[in-house]
Amino acid sequence: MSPSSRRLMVLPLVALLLGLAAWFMSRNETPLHAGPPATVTFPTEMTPREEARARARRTHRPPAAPNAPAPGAPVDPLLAVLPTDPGAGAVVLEANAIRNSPLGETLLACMGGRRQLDMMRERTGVDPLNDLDRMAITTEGVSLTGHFGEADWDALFPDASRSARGDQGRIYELPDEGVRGENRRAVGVWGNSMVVLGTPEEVEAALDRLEGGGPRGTPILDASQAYGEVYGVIGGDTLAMMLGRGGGLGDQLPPELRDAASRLELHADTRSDVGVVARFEGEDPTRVEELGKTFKGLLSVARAQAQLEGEPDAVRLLDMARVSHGEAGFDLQLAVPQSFLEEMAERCRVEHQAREEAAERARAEGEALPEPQTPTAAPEREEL
Amino acid sequence: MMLFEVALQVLREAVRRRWVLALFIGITGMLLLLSFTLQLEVVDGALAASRLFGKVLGIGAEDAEVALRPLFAAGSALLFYGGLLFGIVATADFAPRLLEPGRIEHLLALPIRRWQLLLGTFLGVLVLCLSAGLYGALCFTVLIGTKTGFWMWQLFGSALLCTVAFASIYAVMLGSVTWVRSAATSAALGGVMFILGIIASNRVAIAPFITEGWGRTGFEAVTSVVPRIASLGLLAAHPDLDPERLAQLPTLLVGMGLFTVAVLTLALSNFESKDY
Repeated sequence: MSPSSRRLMVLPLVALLLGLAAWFMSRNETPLHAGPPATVTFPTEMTPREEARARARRTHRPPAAPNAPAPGAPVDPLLAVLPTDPGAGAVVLEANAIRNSPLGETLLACMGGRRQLDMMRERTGVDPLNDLDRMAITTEGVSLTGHFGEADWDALFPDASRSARGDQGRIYELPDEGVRGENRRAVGVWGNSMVVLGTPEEVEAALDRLEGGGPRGTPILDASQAYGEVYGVIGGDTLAMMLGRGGGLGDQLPPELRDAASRLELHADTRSDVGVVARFEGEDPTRVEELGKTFKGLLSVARAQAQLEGEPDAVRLLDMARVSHGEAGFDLQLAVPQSFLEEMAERCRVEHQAREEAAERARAEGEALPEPQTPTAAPEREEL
Repeated sequence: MMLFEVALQVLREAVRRRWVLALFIGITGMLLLLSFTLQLEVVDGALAASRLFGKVLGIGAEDAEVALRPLFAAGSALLFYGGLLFGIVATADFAPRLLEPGRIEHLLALPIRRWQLLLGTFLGVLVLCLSAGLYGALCFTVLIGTKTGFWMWQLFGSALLCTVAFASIYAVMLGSVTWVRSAATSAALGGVMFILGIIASNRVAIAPFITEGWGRTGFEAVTSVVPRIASLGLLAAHPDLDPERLAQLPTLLVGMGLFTVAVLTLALSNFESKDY
């Protein structure tokens, strides 16, 4: 066989090998930069979209102060209703935006679907998934905004004593079920767009802030801080109570640093990946820096512990946790990637489905028995 | 055995060369510079402070593994890409010298088969590349390990992946020498393979920019065969990637191995048919 014909015989083999090489290299091929998941956006400032959102929400013009020449500028009613005490705390949740995000899907899946929400809608006329816009949780009660026109408040609280507050406010004081009045609760309704829950005094004060009836003050949360899907401010007293009390994080911190931070500003972006920024500030920069270093150490220890205990999910989350120091304090950044949320939602869905099937089986078995010997309430309790 | 004899001869020749000496001096010098300039203070697995050239990079206690990950990623990428580029330049004239007139006739007069000569050269160059990579990885790991008490073996993986990638590039360089006996051509082809390897790694992202039809089909067909250099580089620098991407590694390695075998088969067939 001549050398040239031998070479020709090799060509099909080379072509076959190259074809196989191409096939192997092209398998599961993904774009090169789609891989690393650690690119979570942290909300550190207001975006133009959020500025427009904040502007659109300035719909309420509070009545002018007695000696003021003209009424004030329009404000966001939810921000206006927040406490004015600098030591208080308020966290606002953009309920509608969160519901339509991967986090919302995960929460819904883990709550076990819509059955309870449907029951609530039938009872109150308010669909939490569609009618609720925002929720503010404060140290002085809870405020909700949204579309509450369908709710029949008089029918909902037939035993409550009803009183008017300002032009648009109504207060339903619920019957006291406590011994010394510690369970006094009230619901304040402002127009068809806001509901305030708390003690009668808290609800009165909140409606007065909206209607201009009480003492004037600046709400603890400014409109420029209303960015992210969760945002809020926790003032000195509340923060000191959170960090200082026994159990949880307070126990991990050295006692001399528990009151180092006098203010915590919180922002969370939940549109795809969840990125949380907690900004700690205090009077003494050295002590705040020390607190930041302690947080770094705690994250480090928590990660090592999670590794030792074989908790890969916790390790993944702690991998993305950061503490970055600034001039006024430090930022604690925490991230939950969307892929993690999707895994969680799937896990919750599967678990919930298994629970429902078990409950269904237990119910069927209970019905099959003529006289049940054991109480069949266990699955019901589990569902609750 | 003759195969290993040839490989050993290649290594002996490499030791006599200044290029290889420069390679080892370069790696050592870079690591010495890093050892004098990088100050890492680690307390019980937590990185308390780090300084490079006197500038504080970060303060506060942070998990050493998390904090050192970018440093190891940069080190791995440097080792992978630096190793490839230096390997292409440093070994480009190995095969042309082997085949230069006078020498090849002498070698063919010895009881060595042609395939042993070609594959022995290939093996010798790969061992050289792997040694340099492992030397760099060992020095870097020991440097960081002794400074921080934290040992990460990522760079050894990077050195191995670099050798796999270089094998596919050097197969083309060696094969070209059986047609054109030129160090410049060999180095140029090595460079072209390096660039094509980066393009091929990004072919999924690049293809939509090419007009649909024969242009895109041609691009996809050509790049499908080319070793995915940058994909391997990404895996070398970030072994903590998502599982989907990591699952790609075995098929990538098999594919690149088959490419190397195919090119060497073609080169061998040409070398066997040559009349020296």
